[in-house]
Amino acid sequence: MDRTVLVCDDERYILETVAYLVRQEGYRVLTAEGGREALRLAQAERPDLLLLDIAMPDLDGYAVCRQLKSAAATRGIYIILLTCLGQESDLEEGWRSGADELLSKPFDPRQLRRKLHQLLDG
Amino acid sequence: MKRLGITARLLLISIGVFVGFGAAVTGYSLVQLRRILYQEMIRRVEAQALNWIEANLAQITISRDAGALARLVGELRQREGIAYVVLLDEAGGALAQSGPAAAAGIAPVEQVAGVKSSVRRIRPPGGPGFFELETPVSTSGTGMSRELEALFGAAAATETLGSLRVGIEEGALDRAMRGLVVQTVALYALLVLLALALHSSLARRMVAPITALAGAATRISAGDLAARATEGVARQDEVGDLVRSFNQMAERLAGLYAGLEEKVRERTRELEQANRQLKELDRLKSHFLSTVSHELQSPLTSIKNAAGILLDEPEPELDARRRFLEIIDGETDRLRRLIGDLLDLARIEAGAMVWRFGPTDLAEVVRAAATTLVAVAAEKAVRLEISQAGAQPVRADADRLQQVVMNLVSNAIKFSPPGGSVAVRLEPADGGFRVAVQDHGPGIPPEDRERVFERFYQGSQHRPGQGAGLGLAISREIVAHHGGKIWVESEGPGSTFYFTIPAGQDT
Repeated sequence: MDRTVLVCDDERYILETVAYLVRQEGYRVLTAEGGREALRLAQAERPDLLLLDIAMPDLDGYAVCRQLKSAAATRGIYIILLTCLGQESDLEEGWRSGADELLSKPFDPRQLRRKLHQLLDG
Repeated sequence: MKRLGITARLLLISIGVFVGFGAAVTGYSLVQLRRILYQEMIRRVEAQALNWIEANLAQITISRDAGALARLVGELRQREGIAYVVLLDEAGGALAQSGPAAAAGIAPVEQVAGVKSSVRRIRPPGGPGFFELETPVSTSGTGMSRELEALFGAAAATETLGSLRVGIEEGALDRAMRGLVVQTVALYALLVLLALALHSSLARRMVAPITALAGAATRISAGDLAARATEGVARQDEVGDLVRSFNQMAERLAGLYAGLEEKVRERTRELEQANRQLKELDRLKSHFLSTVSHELQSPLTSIKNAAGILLDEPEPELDARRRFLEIIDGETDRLRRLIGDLLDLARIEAGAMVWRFGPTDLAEVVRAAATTLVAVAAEKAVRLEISQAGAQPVRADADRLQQVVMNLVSNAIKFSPPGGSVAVRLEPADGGFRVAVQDHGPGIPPEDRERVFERFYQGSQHRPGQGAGLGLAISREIVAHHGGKIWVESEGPGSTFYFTIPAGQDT
């Protein structure tokens, strides 16, 4: 059975490249361009993992993370929050919102691959 | 310890003084009076004793009949003030006695002026005290002595026959004086009471303004700066002076305090404002940093991902390879623009921007900016409509003004729907020229119209890739440096950005 990864970022080139990277690893990929769309897709499609950007105009990553982690149906989805490098407050808030992993942008694509395998196949 | 007011203190002091002095003076007077009375009495009794001796000398000398002598002595004792009489012979033996004589003994001798007899004061224990006169009974100086002298010579003339002791009871006079003492003391006490009543009302009158003053001072120290002393203000004495100068002082204090309060309020306002400004600056700084870092990291992430894909994929499909190279290229441009804008803004704010002012044709500036953007507009099928009336000479930095027009026009294209149009108009305005860039995009909500000129303000409808939000901030700085104004009007669909450049600007 194919593992499904939902990628959410309002920067369309980040979304495009990350989606490509994840697809390369053999996972099914869903994409969302904003927090609301990510929340809707996560609830409807129940992906195995969510790669989630923080700074989005409609609904930020923390809020999406909190909502998913507080509902029994979606609590099992692994969430990797994509933070901005050097923003210590982001890390704190990220852990508080219930994320399983934090990844600082710009990240090494290999690092992303490693994390995906660790969480989905390990 | 109980607190005593001034009135009470003054009263106590007065009572002490009145009673003390009064008692001293009265006591002294009474003692003196008593002494004088006694001396007077002693003189009177002596005179009577001497008279008695003279009258009865023959009897005493010749007949020593005890019964007769006792009768004579008894007669003398009947006189006023005499307590007892003793007639002694030359050897000191009693010839006759009337009344209870005091026990003889050694007693101090009293000196009484004008009295020849010796006077002793006898104070037997337990009994009444006496003054005792002892007068010699002799023939000397009497008519009888002169007869005897003629008969028997001088020696016989001064024969001492004995002595007469007369006792005066001290208590008799004291009893007489007691009434006097009681009257004196009563009169004195009445006078003291009257004086005290007068004194007390005077003291109260004197102290009342001071009490009122103390009340006013207490109210002032409790914070009621409007409190004044009202009693005794009109008095022409030290108390009046005190009350008036106190009121002046209170007036000045209230004035100073009001000034001080105003100053404190003012300073507090200033400090609060400074604090707000600092907090706002701090907030802007953190916001700036986080925005810059986000704006830099987003394209970097795309570039890093695209590069990573290209490096790790041994044989990428041609389309994919081209796509990721385009992303790298486009995002690098975005980074370059962002860094250029940041540097521009930093230079302008630090005053380090190099301005190249010179004679400039504003029409040419607008034309050049529009020409640069024709391709971008065409890509989105947006029509550019330029209207201007001939050459518009100003003194300006042409490159920077072109940057402003390009910012406005490229924003207008960005927010225009496909197939729409952007109008750029250059027209004369008050003392200069005005450039208007009008689009038919979604417009700007009222709450955003001022804020669009802030750094990194991207509007509530912002989408990524629409710019970092620095273009309008830089434009505002450039226009301001030319002495012009920049603003936006957005009524109904679409919005129009305006800026003005004064003619003959010579910065």
